[in-house]
Amino acid sequence: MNKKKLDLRIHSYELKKAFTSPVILTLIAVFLAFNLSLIYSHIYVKDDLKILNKLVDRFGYVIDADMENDFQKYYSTQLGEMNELTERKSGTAYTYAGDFFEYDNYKRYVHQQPELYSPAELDFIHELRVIEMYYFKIQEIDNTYNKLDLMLIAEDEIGKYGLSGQAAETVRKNYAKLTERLDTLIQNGEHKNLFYSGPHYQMHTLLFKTLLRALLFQIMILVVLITGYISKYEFEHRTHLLAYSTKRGRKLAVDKLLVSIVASGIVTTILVGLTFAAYFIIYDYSRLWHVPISSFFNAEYKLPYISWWNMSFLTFLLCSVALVYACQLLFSAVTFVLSTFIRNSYYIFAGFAILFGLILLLPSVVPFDSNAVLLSVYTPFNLVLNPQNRFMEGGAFGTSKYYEIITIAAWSLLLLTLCWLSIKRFMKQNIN
Amino acid sequence: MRIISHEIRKVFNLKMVALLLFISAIMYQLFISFYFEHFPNGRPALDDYRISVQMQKDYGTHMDEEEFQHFQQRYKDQIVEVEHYLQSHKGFVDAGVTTYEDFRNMPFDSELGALRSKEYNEPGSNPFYELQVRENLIKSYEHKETDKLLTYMKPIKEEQAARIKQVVENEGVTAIFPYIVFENYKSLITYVSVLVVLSVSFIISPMFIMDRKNHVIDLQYTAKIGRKMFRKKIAAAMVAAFLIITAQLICFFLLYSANHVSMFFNSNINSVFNYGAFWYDLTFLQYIVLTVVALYALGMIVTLFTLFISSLAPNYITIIGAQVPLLYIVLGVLFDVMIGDSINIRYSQYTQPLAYLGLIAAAATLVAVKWKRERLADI
Repeated sequence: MNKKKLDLRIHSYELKKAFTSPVILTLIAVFLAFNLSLIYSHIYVKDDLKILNKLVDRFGYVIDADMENDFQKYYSTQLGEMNELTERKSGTAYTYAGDFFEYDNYKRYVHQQPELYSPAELDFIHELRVIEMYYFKIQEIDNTYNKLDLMLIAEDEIGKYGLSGQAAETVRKNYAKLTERLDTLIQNGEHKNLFYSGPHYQMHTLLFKTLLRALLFQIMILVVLITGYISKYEFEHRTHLLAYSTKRGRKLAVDKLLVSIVASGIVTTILVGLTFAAYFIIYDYSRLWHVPISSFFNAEYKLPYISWWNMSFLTFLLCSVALVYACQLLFSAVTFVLSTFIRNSYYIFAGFAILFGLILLLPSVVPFDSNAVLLSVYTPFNLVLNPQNRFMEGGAFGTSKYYEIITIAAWSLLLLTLCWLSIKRFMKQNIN
Repeated sequence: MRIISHEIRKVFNLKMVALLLFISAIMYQLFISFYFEHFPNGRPALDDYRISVQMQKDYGTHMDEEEFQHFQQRYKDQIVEVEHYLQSHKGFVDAGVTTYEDFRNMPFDSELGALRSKEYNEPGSNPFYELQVRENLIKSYEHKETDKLLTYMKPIKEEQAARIKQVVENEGVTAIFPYIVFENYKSLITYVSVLVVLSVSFIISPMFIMDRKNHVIDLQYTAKIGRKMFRKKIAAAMVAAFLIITAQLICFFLLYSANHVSMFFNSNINSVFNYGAFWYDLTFLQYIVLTVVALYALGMIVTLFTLFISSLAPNYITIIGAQVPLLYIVLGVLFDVMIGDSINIRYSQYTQPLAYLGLIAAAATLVAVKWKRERLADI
């Protein structure tokens, strides 16, 4: 058998170890079920989302003078239609569609007279209320962005964590850079695009915080289990004396590392792929792929999302997924390095958990007046904590233009070196 | 007995204990220490705590109508003091702020706002914060019924409404028991429970698999006593879990004693100064005992489930993998019901006992079935 073929066979056997293990498959199924339940728990917004899709079909998502004009006309005709309807039914007219849903009014005309309006008519009024919400939010955009002062946010953040000296200066510098970016963002009109209303539906939180963070942790658990399992398989099945004493033997460590990384990739693909497929089948984003992530409508809290680059929703999503892959590969490498020092896969898992905890504790032991405290969060462990704030403003510790890229690059280099050293060490290690 | 003590010694081997201590220390730093270091957390929580302690000293566990009059009088006296202060302070007089009312209504976005926040940022005993707290306390006392109702989502269930009515009519509602003390304890016991459950599961998990890996089982089961090993191991695991829980609770309560809340031990937790209503009229101390008992029960349940998994799993990843959904259910889904908010009327009165009975029954059945099979198992 030639060398290449042998390598391939070894790899496929190693891979089989991971994926024929019932626990890995069961866990994947359990995690998927859990993610589906997370997605499903938000299902009540589904019908409301359709209303925006209709609006986008009619006007497009870009908000400019023409669009505002058309939208305004459309809104007033609809409002007129609604008032015609309500006048006919109950002799009342409303200034806003929302007034119809005022507690007393709704009780009087809907609860107490269920026959008065048909479900279709109520749907129409509800739809108009949603349209009205978008209409009035458009009017708020300029005002909101004119009032935005990121330097105030910077001071808030500095105060919140009690930063001082160098660290505070760096935060200010980062926010000053973000202010420049905000100006470009406004010039580009990235904020003036329709998107599912953030405060009402919280789709960004659902997708990038709830779901993506769950995914990141699930995949982390699987990756550590798989890597620990593959790399300690021979020791735990008492085949190590045989396997590692052959001519090819010690090089198996390299194969195991490669296979662990491939397995991590496969697990990530399965979980992310199926979860996101379900998400996007249930919630229709087909018209909104190219809306910038920094759209005013996406904002859920006081401060809108401000991304460092002009990213569409799709780009942001893909970048986030890329980040998931990167993190998981790094975790796989971390586990591999741990596994050359620890004999037992149970302790490897505990070791990984302890390392995670220690790294989260890192900022609390660094003085809060040096840049070191900001640097202490440049780890893949920190990256998985707030996936909703990646590539954008994300508080004192998360707002730096190249935070994600530097973290991934630096840790890749570090772990590559460590893996190489571990393998070298393993080549000469006593295996008995 | 000798076998059990050997088994226990095996559980507490040096490596595992060292790791457990390490994990506990990290969890303590990450999640628990905050509630010790920041109690009371900021202002006016600090003032609330101080005033409540004073109230407890003055009025005992309850505050009756007469004492309430006294408390209101104290509030009015303090306003007079504050107004004297305002009238003698040049900055305020220039701004035309001479009454407490004016002070409260000072706009935020102005130079006046700065003046005002300067007053608020005074360290130590601060009459402005204290007045705010007293006002809230008085309001809570006056609005007993509505306050209790407001905690719950509408529409409120019949038995909940009945219980709230009962609580409000009971003397216990006038108990002096600040919510910050309750919330602080609830957060602490919740994290301590997480730590306890994780510790127990971490220590107990390798119990069977270690033997299987070392092929000790083949040896044991050919001996007369061999099959009974299963039961001895269960006993050993229960004792070990009991020791871990006790050790961690002792550490916790030693640390907790530094929070200085013992003066409220005899106050009814259904107090109007605490949020929510509870199915039983417990004092704070009784509530603490209840959570501790619940935690022991939960620890034993987790021990039994973990043992069951450990006795079946062929390797470590299976144990950890199977533990993930189990711990998620225990820690993520059931926790509120089982420990912190167990007797809150948010849940039906029988939720907690049923949850425990159900889990104990499930765990016991699994272990019993396994034991039955064990006696006949082929090795």
